[in-house]
Amino acid sequence: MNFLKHYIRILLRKRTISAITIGGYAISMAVIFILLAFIVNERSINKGFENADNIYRVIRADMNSDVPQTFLDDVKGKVPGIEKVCLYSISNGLYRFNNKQYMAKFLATNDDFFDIFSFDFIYRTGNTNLHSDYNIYLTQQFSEKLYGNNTPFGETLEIGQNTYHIVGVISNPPLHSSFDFDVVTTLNKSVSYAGISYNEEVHKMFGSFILLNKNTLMDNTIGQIEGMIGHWQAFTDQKLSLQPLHEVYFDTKKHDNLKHANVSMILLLTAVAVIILLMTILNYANITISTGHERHMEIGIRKATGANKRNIFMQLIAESLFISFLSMFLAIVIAELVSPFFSQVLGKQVDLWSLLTQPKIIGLGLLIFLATGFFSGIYPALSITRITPIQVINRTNVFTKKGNRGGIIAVQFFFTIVLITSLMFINKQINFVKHKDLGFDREQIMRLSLKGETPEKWQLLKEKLKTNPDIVSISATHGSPFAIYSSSSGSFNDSHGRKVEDVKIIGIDDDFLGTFGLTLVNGNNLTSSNSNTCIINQHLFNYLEWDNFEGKEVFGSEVIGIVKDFNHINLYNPIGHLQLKKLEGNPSFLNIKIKGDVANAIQFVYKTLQEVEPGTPFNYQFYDDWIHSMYEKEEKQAYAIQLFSILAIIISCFGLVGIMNHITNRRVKEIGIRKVNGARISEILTMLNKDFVRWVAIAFVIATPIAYYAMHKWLQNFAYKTNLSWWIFALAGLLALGIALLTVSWQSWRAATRNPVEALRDE
Amino acid sequence: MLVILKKNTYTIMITLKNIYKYYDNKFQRTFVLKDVNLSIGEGEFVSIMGPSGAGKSTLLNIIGMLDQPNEGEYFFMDQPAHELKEKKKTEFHRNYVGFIFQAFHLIDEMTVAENIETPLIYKGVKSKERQAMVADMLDRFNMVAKKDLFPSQLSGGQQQLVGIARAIVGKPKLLLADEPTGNLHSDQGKEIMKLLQKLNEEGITIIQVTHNEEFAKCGKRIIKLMDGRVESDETTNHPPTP
Repeated sequence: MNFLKHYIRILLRKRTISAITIGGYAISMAVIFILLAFIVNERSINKGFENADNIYRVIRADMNSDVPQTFLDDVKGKVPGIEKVCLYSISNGLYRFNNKQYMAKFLATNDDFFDIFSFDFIYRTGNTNLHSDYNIYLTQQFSEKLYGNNTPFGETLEIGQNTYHIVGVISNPPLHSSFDFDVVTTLNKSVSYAGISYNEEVHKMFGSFILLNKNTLMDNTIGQIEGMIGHWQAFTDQKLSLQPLHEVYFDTKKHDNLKHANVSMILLLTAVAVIILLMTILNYANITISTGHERHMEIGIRKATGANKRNIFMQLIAESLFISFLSMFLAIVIAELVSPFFSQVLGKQVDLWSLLTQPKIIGLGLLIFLATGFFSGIYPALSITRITPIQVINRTNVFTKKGNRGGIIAVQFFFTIVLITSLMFINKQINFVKHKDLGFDREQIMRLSLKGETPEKWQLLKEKLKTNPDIVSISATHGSPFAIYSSSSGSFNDSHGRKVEDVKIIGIDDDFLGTFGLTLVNGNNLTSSNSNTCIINQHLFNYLEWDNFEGKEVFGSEVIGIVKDFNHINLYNPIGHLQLKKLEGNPSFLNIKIKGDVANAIQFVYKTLQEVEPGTPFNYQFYDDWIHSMYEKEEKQAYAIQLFSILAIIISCFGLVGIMNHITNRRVKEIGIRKVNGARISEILTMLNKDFVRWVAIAFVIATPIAYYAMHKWLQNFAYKTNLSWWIFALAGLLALGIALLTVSWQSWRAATRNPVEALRDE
Repeated sequence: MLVILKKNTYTIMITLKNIYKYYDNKFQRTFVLKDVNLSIGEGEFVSIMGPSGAGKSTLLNIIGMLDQPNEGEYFFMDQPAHELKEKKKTEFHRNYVGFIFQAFHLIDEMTVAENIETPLIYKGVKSKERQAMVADMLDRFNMVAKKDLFPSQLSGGQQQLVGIARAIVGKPKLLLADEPTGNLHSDQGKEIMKLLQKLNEEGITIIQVTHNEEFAKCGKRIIKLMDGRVESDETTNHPPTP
């Protein structure tokens, strides 16, 4: 403890360098804390359930995770080891309260759900459960929203066309889980409240969760499950497997209505956190070694007075631990102050305090603190313990080898260049996708969602809307471009026996092509009279290798036209198979193309809607705004990554200041001599900065292929990729050089303009 | 080879045999010490003199085991010092030797008391005992009032007093002083020399390097070096007080 007192005195005496050291350290630690909080938070999702380790869901090899409703009876009680099984589906629906309609999230499931996920019953009418189709449970927060602090004893709720009995209130779905819902209904009612009539047999598909006995082997179980469901014709060739609950949140490929992680963002931010951690360690090492001559003197004297290498090593490690300890507290304060800002940037609540109550996290934090402290101390400790008293007494320069800091500088620039390159490519990619031609007209098309009972009155609504001169055309659809229902897809075997998978289906009327400005490559548009006909896209047509489509069918509908490909899924998937099928039953949307005064048209649509179905919510989007909002999410994500990368670059600049400080200190005498002999300031500057240019060049050569590889990998996430243009790599190198020169120049300027007499005066 | 023992009354502490020290440049070898043979007994007060570059400091550093000879043998209390491992050298520094430097080399961030205490910490002396020993030293050098001051608040002479206190607090057998008065006014220098004489009378062996003829005479034996060789080696039985 004794030498810490002296160390504190040193820190106080060298205020600037101490501020740079501790400030840089604390900022990086704060950033790491925030990222850690975010990552830990994401990773903890679904782990809070009591049975979390024994919960699985059945997944198929394709994008789907759904099983038919018969799964319940097929498996329950027949496969040993399966203790509980639940099916579920989550969707939005309307309910009526005080004569107004509102949206809520509905979970349709069976009783086992409560046991599997350990939901508490806050209130429950006797032993009532979900067996009756008209029984529902509310979550606590939803109950409070509707009834305040009163227990909804004997209350009813109107959902869709039916009245439901509230038979209980359950605890809220944990915030750190995949689930988000307000009302629990039976499986049988999952369809009706959405207000859309489906072909029930096809669409009664659900997600599933099973609770396995602790001692059951997963592999055995899946085999037995497969045995039980052999009779599901559609899935006989789909490999089933069990997915542990904790993986569900991170599996973004499956179409379910659960909450999911942004995996690529987590990975990128983890990488940035690791880079920041490394930078912190390097920075500390550099600044410590460069803090200078006095330190070396002190170590030499200590050795002459009897200190051995171990004493000195321990002293320096203790010092770095001390700095890391000090910075940690400062970092917690900084992190707490800026966490609201970062919560916004990351789009997730970053709750530091709740982390500090988890012993595991405190352990991890302490480990990071100890490791950072130790590793940042180890390099200076090793190099400074080498100092011998004789070097001090003889005033020989302790670190005479010129390039001994070059490696570290190259490493710093390496990270900087990789980060800058990535930043620019992320930006370029987002811009690229943003301006990508989607193949359909998205300007001034309003998509009106038909809720409650409006779908049945769609024809009337359409007729009434058509009377307005500002409305060019209206198309009623089931599903829409960029919003195709997960259930609206299927697969079939073509004439060659090949399986045609994942064919998306949109139900359309004859105005669809006109409204979205789509063109037919071949054949004819649908007509109002001809039922059971469809149009397929070029992509599917080409895949099927048909000579012509005459007399051909897809899903039992006669193909009468081929539409030019347009992007119907989203921005991240390539164009796939699409069937535009003549609408049967009721639509879910009206797509209204508006010309001229948009505000007036919106007013008109609202009024007409209220005339047709009083009290129904007016829920609409414009395609261009809506698609733009999809980019917004992406942009926000990119913004978060950019922000953290820029922080990492700034942190690396702290280190550069340290290194330059060291170099100029070491070369003070040389600079003095050169100046006495007539060197100009510009020549001194060139001399000092030249090394940096070389190191940036080396770093550039190493960083470019790695950044190329990383970006190549990252772009694989996208269906539409921007080019990996060479100029971005070059620009990144130049930027890194610019940053380097800016950072080091103020120090080299100071050194170069110093009076040589001062430098050459010995003691 | 003739090894001259000047006084048989001393038990031998240091024996140097054929010590060479040189630096190799690209094309030539520069000798700092050439075939130095010396014996120094316990309780001696030796002054090493000679012009700049004669190898005085190098010789002192070799004796203090801060530096190693390129050739030759060095026995300290009959132990072959040239074969000692790093660990043993540290032991030697902790228990047998104290250093005094021309530039004092006090640690700036430590108070007077803390500077004096440093070697005791490394020696592993218990805290209570350390405080007592430091208090003793402060008392002896009349610096009790200054114990909480930092080196920069002291005059040069006072700083060197602290340096000496630090060197002897661990009760070493050998005190090595490299130009102890080099950075001091002559009055301050005299004080320091008196102190060294007194310490020698109390039984501590002292080897000092000095340029100052007058201060060199304070020792009982004067060794003159010239171009890395021992030029003369004289003993006076009654050194003058400065």
